[in-house]
Amino acid sequence: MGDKQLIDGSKAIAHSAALAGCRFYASYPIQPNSHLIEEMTQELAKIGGVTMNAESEGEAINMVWGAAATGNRAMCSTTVTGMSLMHEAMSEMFAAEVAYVFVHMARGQTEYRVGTRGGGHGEYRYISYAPHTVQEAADLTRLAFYTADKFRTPVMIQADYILTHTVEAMEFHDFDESDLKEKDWAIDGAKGRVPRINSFIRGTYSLGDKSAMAYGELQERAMERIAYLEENVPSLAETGHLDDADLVVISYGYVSRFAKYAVGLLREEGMKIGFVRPITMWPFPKKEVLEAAEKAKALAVFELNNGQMVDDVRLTVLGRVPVHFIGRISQDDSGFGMGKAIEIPNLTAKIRETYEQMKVPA
Amino acid sequence: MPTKAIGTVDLDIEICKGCELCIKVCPVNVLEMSREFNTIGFRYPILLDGCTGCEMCALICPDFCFTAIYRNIPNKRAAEIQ
Amino acid sequence: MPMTKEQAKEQLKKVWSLPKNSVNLGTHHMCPGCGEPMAYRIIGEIIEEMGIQENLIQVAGIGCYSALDVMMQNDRINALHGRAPSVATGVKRMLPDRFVITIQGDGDLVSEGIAEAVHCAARGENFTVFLLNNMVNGETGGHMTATTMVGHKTKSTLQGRDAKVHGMPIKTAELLAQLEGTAYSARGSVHSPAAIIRTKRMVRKALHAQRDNLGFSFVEILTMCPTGWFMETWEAPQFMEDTMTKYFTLGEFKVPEAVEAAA
Repeated sequence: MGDKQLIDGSKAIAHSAALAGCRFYASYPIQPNSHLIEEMTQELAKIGGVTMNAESEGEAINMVWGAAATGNRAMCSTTVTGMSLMHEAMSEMFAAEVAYVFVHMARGQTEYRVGTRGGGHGEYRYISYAPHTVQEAADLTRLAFYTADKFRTPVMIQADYILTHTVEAMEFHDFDESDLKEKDWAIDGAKGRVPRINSFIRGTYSLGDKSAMAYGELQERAMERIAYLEENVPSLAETGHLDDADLVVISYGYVSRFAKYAVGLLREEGMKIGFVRPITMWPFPKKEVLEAAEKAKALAVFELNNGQMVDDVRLTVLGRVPVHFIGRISQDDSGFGMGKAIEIPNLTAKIRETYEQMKVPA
Repeated sequence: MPTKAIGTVDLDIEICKGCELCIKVCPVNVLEMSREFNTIGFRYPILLDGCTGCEMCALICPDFCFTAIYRNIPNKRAAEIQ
Repeated sequence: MPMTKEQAKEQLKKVWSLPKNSVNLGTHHMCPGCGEPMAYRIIGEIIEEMGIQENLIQVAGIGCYSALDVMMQNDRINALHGRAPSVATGVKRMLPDRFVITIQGDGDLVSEGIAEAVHCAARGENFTVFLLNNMVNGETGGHMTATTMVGHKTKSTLQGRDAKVHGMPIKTAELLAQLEGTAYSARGSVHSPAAIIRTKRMVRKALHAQRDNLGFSFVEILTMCPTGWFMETWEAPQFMEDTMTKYFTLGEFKVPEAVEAAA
């Protein structure tokens, strides 16, 4: 620890998970998630953990449910279509109050909504982190395991195709977890205590506990938990040049590196442009976005999808300033990576266009 | 050692759902359905004289109405239970 | 003067009583004549006999028996429909010294989750799967499952299951017995006292196989569902004797030598 290393995003996440004490990892090969499986297999073998190359996505996530319910730290990962298959269990693991970390190795950014609202049934949310560098991927992985245990809830990391394969200089940091409480909900055999039940119908409770949630209270309970998480989980964001910006570009994940660079280029030309980069996608960093909306004349959201985070931005600013969507779905020829929209000439042109339109007096 | 088996059962009629499976399996036909109903609204078995304590009814009962079996000829488990 | 019952009892010996530590007795919400509570009691009795209820984690599937689970006095995870073997895999891999069992119905294990069961057996996961096979999706109101016999009436096959439309029912115990990772596979039934005693031996052998780390153990237990079969409660056991056990033959399909020798 403390030494600078040159490693890629998958390795950083895998090693960080091992440092966090992850004991179980299950996944099913799918690009670009496969690289993480390779790294996790090696990392967990070093610390005596278990890696399962499951026979299907559904099996992988359910294995993680079982492992996480025993009180051990567990991680699951997949890519877009795999996540659709896993949503059956992911929906219910929130209800069953299972703490685990989910890494979504996206291909583009078309899963913002799924990664924050969930794609399954019933009311549930993930605490969702979007790293934009290898260093941040490693740090957020540690934070994700900590947050999952602290709030006893699923936490998602939204990584992507480029981050997986990007090699960067980084270092692993120590992480203080001393305020975590003992897991008094672990299902580990009822030795000398009242049996516990981990149920997606009634949450986790002790047998015969009269105060346990009754059937039918599940959705009300989910509502309370979501409100609690939204209030208590710290939302993180990076901001730049908000003091003088007329236009603020909002972008998340690896894509935001391109947006930040484009903003820098345009500022050299004298344009007053700032940026906000949400690090937690849920709970959404409302404070930073509102601060941007107070001072700027307009916001522009750049994301590689048909407009998903832009909804959150609009719900945050509530019409205080115009919110322009400047992103688009853009893939490379392989179908796994990100396409032409993130190329700097395209991106600067798009931001410049928005900036100039904004300057036209209404 | 007695040669004729004599036995009896502990029977909790209040949890009986009247499925009559015990009536069918009783080899000496000493169980008979009541004409009355228990508090949850089912007819229940009544034990007549002649029970041998063979355990058949207790084995088949899905509602666990038969809570204990007594017999004059003990089996292996009798020592453990007492 | 004839003796009262209490007087008679004093002269007799208690030869049998319900398991008290591993099974929580009292009224449950199953229909009259349901076979599932019997299967649960058999499993509970063996757990009590082995003294492992404080060292056991049960993963329950979804079916009528999900509501019956309060009977069991051990740690439990409620898994999704058909996914119990996968959840059990996660548990057993993390806690290899604990006993792990899953209890699933035929709609759960065979219809929805046969892939999970097959892969767990193939991997030789060291836990025990109990299949309560009653040939219908009881909890949904009595619809066809993958084990419903040809010609059998259910809510969704009122003219009887037609092999031309729905194919033939799956014999799960035989299917899983063919896999290398399976240590023990058997089919028992609860339709008669004799069958219950035989099934109890199977349950014991399966848990002994797990204790000895021999691999995947599986017991299919045929249970009656008079409600789903449109039958009187007392006709169901006879139907099982005459018809069901002819197709789903009772017996052991794979027994490890170590377990056979010990039994």
